[in-house]
Amino acid sequence: MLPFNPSFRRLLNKFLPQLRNEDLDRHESLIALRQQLLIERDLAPPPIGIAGPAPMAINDQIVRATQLADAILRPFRREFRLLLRLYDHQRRQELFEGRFAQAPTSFPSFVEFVKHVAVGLVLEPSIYIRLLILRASRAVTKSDTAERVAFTATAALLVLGVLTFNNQTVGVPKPEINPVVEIDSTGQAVKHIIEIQKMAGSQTDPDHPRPLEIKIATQSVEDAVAGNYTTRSITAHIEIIAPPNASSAPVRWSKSDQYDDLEYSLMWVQETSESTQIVIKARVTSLGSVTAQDTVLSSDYYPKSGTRKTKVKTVYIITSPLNMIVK
Amino acid sequence: MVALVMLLWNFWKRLKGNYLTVIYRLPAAKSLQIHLMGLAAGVTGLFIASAAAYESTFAALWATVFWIGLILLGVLFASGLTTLLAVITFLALSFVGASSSSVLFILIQGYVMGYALGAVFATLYNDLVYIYLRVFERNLVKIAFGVYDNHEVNIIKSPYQLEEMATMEALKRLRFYTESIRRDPSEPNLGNNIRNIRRQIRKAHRRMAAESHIELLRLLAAANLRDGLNNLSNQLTNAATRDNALRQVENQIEPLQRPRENQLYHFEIAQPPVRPYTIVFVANPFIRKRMPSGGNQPDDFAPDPIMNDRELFLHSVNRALRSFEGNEVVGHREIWSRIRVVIIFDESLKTEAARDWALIEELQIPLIINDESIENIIDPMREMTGCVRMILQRYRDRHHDLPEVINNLDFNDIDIIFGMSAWPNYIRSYAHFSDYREGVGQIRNLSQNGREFHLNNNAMVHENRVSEPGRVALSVVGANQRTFIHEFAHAMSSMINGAIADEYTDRILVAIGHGAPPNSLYINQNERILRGRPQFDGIPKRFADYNGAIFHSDLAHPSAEEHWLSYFPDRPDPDVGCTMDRYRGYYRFDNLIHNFMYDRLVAKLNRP
Repeated sequence: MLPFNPSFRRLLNKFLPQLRNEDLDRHESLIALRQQLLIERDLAPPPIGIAGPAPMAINDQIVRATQLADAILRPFRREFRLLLRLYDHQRRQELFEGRFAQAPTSFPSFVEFVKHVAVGLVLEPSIYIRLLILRASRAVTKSDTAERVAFTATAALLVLGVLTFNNQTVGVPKPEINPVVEIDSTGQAVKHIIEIQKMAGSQTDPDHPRPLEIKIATQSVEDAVAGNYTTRSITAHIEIIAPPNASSAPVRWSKSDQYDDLEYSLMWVQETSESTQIVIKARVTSLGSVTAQDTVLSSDYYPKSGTRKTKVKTVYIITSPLNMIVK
Repeated sequence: MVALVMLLWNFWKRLKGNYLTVIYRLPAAKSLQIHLMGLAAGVTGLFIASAAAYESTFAALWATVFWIGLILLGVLFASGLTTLLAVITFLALSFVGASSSSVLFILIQGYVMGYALGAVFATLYNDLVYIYLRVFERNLVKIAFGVYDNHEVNIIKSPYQLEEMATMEALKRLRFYTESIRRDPSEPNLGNNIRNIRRQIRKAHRRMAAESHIELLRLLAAANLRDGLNNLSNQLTNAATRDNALRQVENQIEPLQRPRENQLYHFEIAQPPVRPYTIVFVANPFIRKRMPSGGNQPDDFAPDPIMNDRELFLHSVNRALRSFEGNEVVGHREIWSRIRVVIIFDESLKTEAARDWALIEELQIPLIINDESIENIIDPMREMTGCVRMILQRYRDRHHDLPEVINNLDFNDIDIIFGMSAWPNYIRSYAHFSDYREGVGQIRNLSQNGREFHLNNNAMVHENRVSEPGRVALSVVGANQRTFIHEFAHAMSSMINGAIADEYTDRILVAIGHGAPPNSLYINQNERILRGRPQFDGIPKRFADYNGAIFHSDLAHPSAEEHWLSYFPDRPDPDVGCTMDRYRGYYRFDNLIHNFMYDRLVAKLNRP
């Protein structure tokens, strides 16, 4: 009988740092001794030539060896059992992959391999989670503290990410419905809504580029109570020159109806197979530091091919300087 | 890809009725692990995609961080499941028409594409290396052994080449076909084998140089090859001239074919041993679970998974052969060339009664903790020897047309039985010495014929035949290269005539007042007397007198603790641990064990 496979030892060292190598050595020595004693017990006649103090009966020695060996692993019995299952799974995978062509060559072996992989998909994460839970329930050591700090920091980052979901484009992008209230440098809370509306015109007719009307609505906190908006409208002409399936779309961009306190510009237009994205940056100078704005036009606004839809879609442009968000 | 082709090829061969499995030994070459390569490329793709995600939706910084963190954690703790979920998510998002600006979609796309790229690259790389070796480095690819699928018992290595039937056929040796004709000269066997012989000669003809070409024609006594082959066919068909023609093929044509070029072992023994030293590897059909009450009910047994995985069994045998042949004692050419290896894989046992055919059990000893096993050892059952005897008998009864050489396989020549198990969670192997049976102790061979030797003036015998073969329960899951030779050393030693013990234990661990071990039981372990005072006896410099040769003690045994009383023989190299110790790294046998094993093997290989 050999001691544990070195690869299993490494697994024990990784997940059970409380078990020192000396402990594992001692456990292995005790088990080896017990097996030796089991064989000697079957010898007849019993051992002779005894010297020194009165010997312990061989059965007592076997029990003693078992007790001592068990005492070493007893506190970590559940972890040990889980690690054994994990090792068994990993080892079988190694045995498969160790065969140069990396797969079985007979059907029963193939079935065994598939079964093993399927079970392993569930087994591995469940064992990791259970090990983490078991580990968390143990006394805190110095190494545990560092680990917990790292774990807490990671968890905080994840929570922060979750909290910002409402403001981000995650999954299928949707128009933002709820306007965002911002606070400018003077402490005045304002709300901006920019509407982009399709006007008459056809994209397929190069002589009549389709105009866009951009409306910007501003609202102070006091006005919000009263439900008043100050709205300014401008009209821009956007003409997409490139064919519909081009990866990037050069555009012609012209502006009209400018306001003194409103600066806006077209950042870029990008077409993909599914949608056309237009990003516009606008700046309302009369409102102090409120600046960056962007928008995404959904795919049915600029369909790639076929008959243009006549539906007019409104897309809200939300101002969102990260450090000024108040929900 | 190659694996898939091989799988289909094996199906096809089975449909054609070809029941020969060949285990190859490939030269060392770098191969890539598909899953790991996929993960590495997937994570790289994830980070590349994160840049794109940030570019297009630069406001979604935290969402990007969140998803990257989640995927990385998943890869770290559940790589397989994470990859599966990523693929499903990717397909689902693609199906519902997710926008290209979605952070999740961009990241998942990067990961899945990266993983696929890495996995495909690793697969192609491995396949190309494999194909390169098989096509362009053909001389380096060796046939370790061949096995008949429809035979439960196969001799895969023997000093008698004729016993290696499947291997011979795998090598397409002329000798196999000539022997087949001798065994059964009737049709259609005769016609088939003549065709095979002609095919082999044509093959040799294509490969031979000009001189040999002329030589071949001279041997065939004809002006051209076709006439010569027709002439040979006529001679083989004619009973009167058949023997002469067969001898001609064997003695004159076969050497031109460079026979056994691809065989792993090239041993040519003029006079093989009469009764070769025999090692049996048997796949364990059932395992007896550990029962506190020592139960023997049907529910106490379970089928061993190795019976569903013949590949695993054969490759484990191959690992064992590699372990043996690389050992300084067993692998010594004059020893290894004379050893016979038999493998048994009897699938029909799966439908038999478990209690009758279980060879291995979970170690049956009451433990302290909730009666739960915590050392995870499998143990050879007492009935293992009897079961193997019955399996051999069933095999003979089932195949009446076995060649004589196989029928000559005598159970009494079996020296060691390796029971191979893939029982989950029991990863430690265990061996019993020869001449030992549980509950009985030493089993004495009444004849005790053999070679006498002296250990510390005690007369012992390397007996010709063991009264009970050494038994090993070997976990193919937990075993490494060293396990096979380690357990072999235990099993080949004798409970009566010198046992080889583990060198990483000492009985002082359990008892203060303890006695010395039985005299002469262990070859490689001595024990000092415990003194009841602060002084202690040093390790004696002289360990043992073995057949007049003095062997010294190991004064710096690696695993010895400060209070141990046991001491062990010295090692040939102080930087290398003993195979019987737990010392990690390189390993060799102690000097004394080396001599003992060598003498014992030589004695058995020379038995009448």
